[in-house]
Amino acid sequence: MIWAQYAIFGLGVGAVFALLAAGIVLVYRASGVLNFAHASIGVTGAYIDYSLLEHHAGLPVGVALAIAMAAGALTGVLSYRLVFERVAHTSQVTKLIASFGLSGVLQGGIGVVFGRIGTPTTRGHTLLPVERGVTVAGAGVPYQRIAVILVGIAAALGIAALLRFSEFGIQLRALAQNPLAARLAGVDDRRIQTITWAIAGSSSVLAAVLVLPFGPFNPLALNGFQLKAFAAALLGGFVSLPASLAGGVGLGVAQELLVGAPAPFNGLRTVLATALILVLLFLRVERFFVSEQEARAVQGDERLFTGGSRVPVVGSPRAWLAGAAVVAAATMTMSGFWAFVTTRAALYALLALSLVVLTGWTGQVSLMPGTFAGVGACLAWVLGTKLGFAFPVVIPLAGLATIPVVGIVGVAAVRLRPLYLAVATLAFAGLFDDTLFQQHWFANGGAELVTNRPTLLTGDHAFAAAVIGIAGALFAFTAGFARTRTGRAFRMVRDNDRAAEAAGVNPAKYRLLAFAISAFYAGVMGALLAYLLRTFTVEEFSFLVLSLAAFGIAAVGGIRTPAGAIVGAFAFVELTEVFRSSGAVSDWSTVAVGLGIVLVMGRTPDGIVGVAQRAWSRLRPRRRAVLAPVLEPSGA
Amino acid sequence: MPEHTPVLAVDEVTVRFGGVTAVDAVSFAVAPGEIVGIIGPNGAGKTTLLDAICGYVTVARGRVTLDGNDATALLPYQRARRGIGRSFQDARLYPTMTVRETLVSALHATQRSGLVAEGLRLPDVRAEEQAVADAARDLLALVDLTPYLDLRLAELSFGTTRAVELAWLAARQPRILLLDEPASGLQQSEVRELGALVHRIRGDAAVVVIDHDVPFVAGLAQRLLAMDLGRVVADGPPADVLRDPAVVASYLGSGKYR
Repeated sequence: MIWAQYAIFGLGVGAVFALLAAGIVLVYRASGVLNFAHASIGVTGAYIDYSLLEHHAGLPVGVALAIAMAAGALTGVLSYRLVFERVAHTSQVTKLIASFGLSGVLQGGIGVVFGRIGTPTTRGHTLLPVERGVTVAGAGVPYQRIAVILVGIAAALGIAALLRFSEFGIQLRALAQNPLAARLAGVDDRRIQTITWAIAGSSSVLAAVLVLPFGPFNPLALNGFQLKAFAAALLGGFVSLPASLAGGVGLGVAQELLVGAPAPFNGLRTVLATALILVLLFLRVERFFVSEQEARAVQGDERLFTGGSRVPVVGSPRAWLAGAAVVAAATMTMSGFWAFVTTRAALYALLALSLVVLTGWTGQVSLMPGTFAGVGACLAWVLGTKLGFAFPVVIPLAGLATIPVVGIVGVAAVRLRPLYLAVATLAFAGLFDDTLFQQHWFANGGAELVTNRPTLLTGDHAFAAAVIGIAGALFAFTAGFARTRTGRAFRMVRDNDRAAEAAGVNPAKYRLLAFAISAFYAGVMGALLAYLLRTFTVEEFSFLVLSLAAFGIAAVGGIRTPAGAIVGAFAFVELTEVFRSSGAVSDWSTVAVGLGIVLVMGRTPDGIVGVAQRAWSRLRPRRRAVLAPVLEPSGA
Repeated sequence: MPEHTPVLAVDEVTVRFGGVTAVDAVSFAVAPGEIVGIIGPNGAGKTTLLDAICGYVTVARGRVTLDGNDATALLPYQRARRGIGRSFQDARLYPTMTVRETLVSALHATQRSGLVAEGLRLPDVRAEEQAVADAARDLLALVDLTPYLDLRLAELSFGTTRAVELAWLAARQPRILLLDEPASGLQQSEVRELGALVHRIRGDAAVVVIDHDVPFVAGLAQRLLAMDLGRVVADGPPADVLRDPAVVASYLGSGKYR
């Protein structure tokens, strides 16, 4: 019976979802980090396992696995000690962005260290031979499948039991609920968190080694599983382990049973996790499994960037236009190559600007900047190349076309807390990758897309001038609303949305508006990048390539100021040119971007621009008024 | 003043959190310009009552009426625009904003400009921004905060932030001020000054003030409401309410705890 086989497959992937979810929940409870790099740690270990077995024939698979899991534990501990311990005092959103950075470091690092391992035909080593197995209900089931189910579920249950019954688990839960009281009662915070990260790291490696033999082996191979693990963990509000484990196994079985479903329904498989995430988020299902008090205790401070020592610079619209004119004129004197590089920098700056508005000013985190840029790029192909629309029509349309998408995602944005919004956008980004970006009419089925620059702008110099002009206009527009009514409302909502409401500001309206502005910028950027590149594939607009770069640029330059987007973008583009000359472009630059995020986030929310601003104000004598307290007895 | 429509009427309002009834069928009305104090021990439901009036928590039963119009279904920002001004216990406001910008932000609902006009810096926008900036400066002068104009709220002492918050409230010229423990975290000397400041900024607005500092509330209010375990146990002139046996019992603990 074929259904039995699907169900067994489903139990296997479900066990892996559950195991990954257990690690994610554990780390979230101990450190308040929603760790988007969890799967990256697992894949790093899986590569170690793979190369051990490749290079040392006769090494028992169990020994290789043990070494890989130890390496995963070490990676986890180092992630905590070098990255997350340093951002412990910051907001959850900052920690989230730091975890993006860590995933860049690890996934790029895999490429750098292991080089070419990971061609489409590579498969991981199985723990047990795939050829041998048992027959269940007339269908052959390899031992490896059974091992995945048993080991995966046992490990996940083990973590749950550890949290529930052990001394370590009790101390961890005490820390999560009331860190101060727990520390006063003698709980060693650092020790508990170190153990947590070690368990999470090694369990992620175990999950990776168990499941990767069944599919392609590459640095991104586990990311799809991580999305499903987030869906499972969401069922328990990232707090309840039993709910997360049940969610993981249930999702796995449901997903594999859909494979055997008749024609229209089997397509639901790709959208199942996204749909589940959205349903869970909207119905707030986690409240049935987690008490309000318990959830709130872990969540901590969700507000973003309320630190920072200065009011970030914005600049006047006129200054931005003048600056753009100067840069455009300067490109005329450059070689074609450098004009091209400068154009690229201007476009990356525009994408980073979209994050300044969305994340820096409004405090929302979206994993979709690359998605919106991809929509814009594909539209440049659909409208410009296929339908023959003129360039000046295509560009604004590419920006505006993102608005309906914002409408759908934005419904989530206005209702969700920052962390949940990030998960929702991750789900949407995955949905777009699996559906719209696979379409022939929209993205040429993932194959190469071609754009034709308009006659006047064929040369790299003329095109540079056009792009810098458009980007400059959008920067000037942004500077225009930054310090007036709309920009203030953004920051009111970010800093304190209750107090914003008390002043008559509708937070939902401004969250949505920031989302729309940021999507528009990303859409325009994507279309312009499509014209700049002339030929491209949608792959170049994936999270790891484009969204991560945008976060890196904004974080390093300074995510609260448009100037940060410019500084960060030029630094990034220069850096990638340096790496290009040394080969291995994308891996090294992914590592560099990740390192940039990890090193800068949490130290200063204002990046290079913030440091420069501080140095500048130190050079100038600061006028400091002599302040008398206001609420003081007038007679005294 | 029964001939006036009350600026705020709370009618049989009940708020439940799970199985706990935090506010239990509370009714009272505030006449225009009246100052009402609400006192009660911890857990009496005072802050929850304010949250229900502002719309931050949904009521299980009952109605909230502003100037005779039912506001029970309105969102918090809509109620704010109908004349509710609310201060917060933490007085945190917007930590990254300067004092000047905080005051200007209070005038959001009076402004008309939108994103596109602002992005293009149309002349109307400049004029409007100039007007709100002037209004904010005048207000800060009124509460002697001018020297602090360009400091960020995060840099101010708690007492000064409280003063900024009151100016921020006054800037919106609300019909009624809801003050949530304005004296908490202040020194005794500052509390004495606070009463005068409230009078100075309120204009002709009504005030509902809750606080643990009973002498402060009693000194400020014309009428006192005493709450215990979610219910109103006494309502009347301050002197009478403070002598009420139910109030005395709620503060000293009832028989079962003695």
